[in-house]
Amino acid sequence: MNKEVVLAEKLVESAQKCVAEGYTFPVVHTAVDHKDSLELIYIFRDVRDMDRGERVLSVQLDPDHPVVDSLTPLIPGLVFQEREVYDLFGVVYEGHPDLRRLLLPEGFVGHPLRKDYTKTQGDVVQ
Amino acid sequence: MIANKEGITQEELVINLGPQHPSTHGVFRMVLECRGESIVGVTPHMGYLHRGFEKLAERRTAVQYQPYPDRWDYLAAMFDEMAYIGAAEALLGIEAPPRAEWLRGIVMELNRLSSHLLWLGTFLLDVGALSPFLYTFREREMILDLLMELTGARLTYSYLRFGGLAHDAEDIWLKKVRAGIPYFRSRVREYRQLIDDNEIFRKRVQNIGVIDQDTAIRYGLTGPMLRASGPAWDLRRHRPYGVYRQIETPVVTRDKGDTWSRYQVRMDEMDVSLDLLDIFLEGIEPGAVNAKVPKNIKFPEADTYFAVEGPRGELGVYLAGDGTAHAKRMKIRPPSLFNLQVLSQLLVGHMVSDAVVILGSVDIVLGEVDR
Repeated sequence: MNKEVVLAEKLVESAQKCVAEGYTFPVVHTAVDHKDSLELIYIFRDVRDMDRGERVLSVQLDPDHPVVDSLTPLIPGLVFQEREVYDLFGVVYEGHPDLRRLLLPEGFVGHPLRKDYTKTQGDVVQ
Repeated sequence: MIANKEGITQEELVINLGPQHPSTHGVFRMVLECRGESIVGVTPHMGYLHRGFEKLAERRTAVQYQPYPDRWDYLAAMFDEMAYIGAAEALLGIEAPPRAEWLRGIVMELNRLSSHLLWLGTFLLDVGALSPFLYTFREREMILDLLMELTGARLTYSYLRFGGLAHDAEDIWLKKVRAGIPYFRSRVREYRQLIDDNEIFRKRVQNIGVIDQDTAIRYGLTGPMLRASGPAWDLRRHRPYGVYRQIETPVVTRDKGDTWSRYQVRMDEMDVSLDLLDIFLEGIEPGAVNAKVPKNIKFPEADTYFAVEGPRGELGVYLAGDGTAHAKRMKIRPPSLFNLQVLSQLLVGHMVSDAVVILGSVDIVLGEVDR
C-alpha cells in the first residue's frame, strides 16, 4: 500500500489538504501496534471521481503517550472509528466531541488490541 | 425543563429502545430523548455482540481463521469470506482460477438476494405489514437450501478458501440455480406490485429519514444508503474484484435519500443480482477451482486493504502481516457501523413510530457492527 507518512503535528494540515482536493470520504481508520511505535492509518477516497485512487495517510505515535489531534471535526465519518481506536488501542484524540469506549463496557480496564495486553488486565471495574 | 405560562413544567422523556427489542434487529440499543411524540436526541450504544474477531486474527493462523469471517455478518457470510480471503490473497499474491471466481460471483449474488429478502420482510414488519415477512422468508429459504446443498450450511458456509473454493459445484446444482432465476424474478415483481403502490406504505416511508448527498459522503455511508442519496458508487463497478472485472455491473441509484429511495434501491438491486446470476451462469466454464497454494501460509511484512460490495455496503479488510502465519493486525470495515453514524440526523425531528421504520431502512446487522 502506498502510504504518505505524516508527522502527528501535521496530521490536521494534511487531512485538510485531502479534503480540499476532494478526498472527503472516510474509507477506514485504524491503528497497528508495532511494539516500538503505534501507527495510525487513514484511508480517504473521492467518491465523486471514480478514477482517482485512495489516499492513505500514516502517522507514527509514541506507544507510551499516544495522543493525536482528532479529525472528526473535519471528517465527521470518523467519529465511531476514532472511538473504536481509543477503545481498543488507547489512542487519545484531542478535540473529539464524544470520546468514549465504543465496543467494550465502560468500566473495562486496558486496551486489548495492544500487543502488551495480557488477559489479567481485562477486568471490568463496576 | 421548560415552564409554560400556566406554570406547568415539561421535560424530555427518555425511552430506552433495546438491546432486546425486535425492531433493533439484534442487540442494538438506542436511548431516545422525546418531547411528546417527537425525537429530540438519540444516543446509540453497541458492543453487546462484541466477540473480539480482530484480536482472534492475531491469535489464530491464517488458515485457522478461515471459518471466523462467516460470523461477522451472519446474513451475508459469503461477502465476509470474500473480504478476508481476498485481502489475504492480495497480500500473498495468490490468484484463484477462473471457475472459482465465477462460482464466487454466483454464491455472492445468491447471498445478496437472500440478505435483501430478509431485509424486505423485516422492514415491512417494522412498517406494520405482517404477511410479506412470510413470503420473503419462503423465497429466502429456497436460496438457503441451494447454498446448503452446495456448502452444507445454511448461514455459515466456510466455502471460500485461499486460492479457490472448498470444492467444485456440480452441474446439477448450477442447473437448479438456473431454473430458480425466473421464479425469483417473478416473485420480486410480485412484491413490487403488492408494496409499491400501497398508499399506507408510501405515506409511512416517503420523505422520512432524509440524508443528503454531501452528508452521506462525509459520514462514509456505503451501499444502498449512499446510492439512495445520489452518488453512483459501487465497488463492483468502480473497484472491481474477481469476476466483476469482466463485466460492467449496473449501478442502481436514487436521489431523494429518504426511506422510500432506500427501499427502491434495494428492490432494484435484487433484479440486478438476478441479471448478474444469468451472466455468471452463462459464462462459467469447466476447470480447476483451486490454485497452487503453499502448504505453510505466512503473511509477508506488508499491508493491504481489500473491500467487497456487500448487501449493506463496503465491507473491507485491512490486513498487515509480519512474516509469520498470524496476522499482525486485521481490521474489519463494517458497513453497518458507518451507516449508523448518521442515526441522529436520520431520527431527530421524527416521531417515535418512525424511528423503528428508519432504523429498519438502515439495514444493520449487529454481528458486523460489534464484531
